[in-house]
Amino acid sequence: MAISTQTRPDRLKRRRLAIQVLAAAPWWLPAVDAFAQQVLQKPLDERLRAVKIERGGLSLDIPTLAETGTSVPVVLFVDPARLSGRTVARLGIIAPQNPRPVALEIELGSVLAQPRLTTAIRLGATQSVIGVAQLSDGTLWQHSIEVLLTGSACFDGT
Amino acid sequence: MSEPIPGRNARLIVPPLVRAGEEFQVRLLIQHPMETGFRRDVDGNVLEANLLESLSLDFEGQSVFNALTMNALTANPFLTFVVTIKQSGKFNARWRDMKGNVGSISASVRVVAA
Repeated sequence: MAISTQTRPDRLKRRRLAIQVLAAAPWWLPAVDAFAQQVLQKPLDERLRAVKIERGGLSLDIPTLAETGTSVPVVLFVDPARLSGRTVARLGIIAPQNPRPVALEIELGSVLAQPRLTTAIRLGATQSVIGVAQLSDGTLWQHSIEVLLTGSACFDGT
Repeated sequence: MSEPIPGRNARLIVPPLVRAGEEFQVRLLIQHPMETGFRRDVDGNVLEANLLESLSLDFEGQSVFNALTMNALTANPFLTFVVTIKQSGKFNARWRDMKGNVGSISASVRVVAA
């Protein structure tokens, strides 16, 4: 068959990646449209689009100027007043421009008093860091903040 | 000096005494290099990736959180949570890294009447 050997493996690889991502579609994917487009090379699948995405209930607290990407403090919290009887099932932090974009996926248990998480992440480049929360009824809340980075975590200068 | 085993040293910080229903902080620090596999040593050899894969904390069998920790978490991961408990008991954290090293740490909290 007259298929260009140069483009075929690339296209196949990309398609395989897209299939993998869709098959094991992570719960936070619909909330992270730009990242999804980058991975799938196309807008989100209809199936994933069906998930209701709201804004405003989740806050991501991260410095807008980070001196070094090796450790950037993050606070992710959900406003309990906006939960209206629902609980927070999962929290996630996605850094789309990192070589491996998922920083943290976390399932919250019943012992927690507040849907609030403090940690520190690595960033490889200036980018919009995305916080995602999934509520018990499946609703996704998303909040993203552009973080300007002066030093990447992916190179150590040696 | 021999190399320390990654993930062997950790701290789980809780107050020793709380009132029933009181909210308090639980802080977990694990000493782990979280090597990404993108760095090289002085000879130019790639440093083998070794990241924490899973990390969970429970209180007397009830889950506090269950995390998939990955590349973009810093070296020596540090996590803070706010919890409430009704009875005295023990917090237990467990983790596993890509090389199969497992670690755990526990800390007890005593509850006094409000």
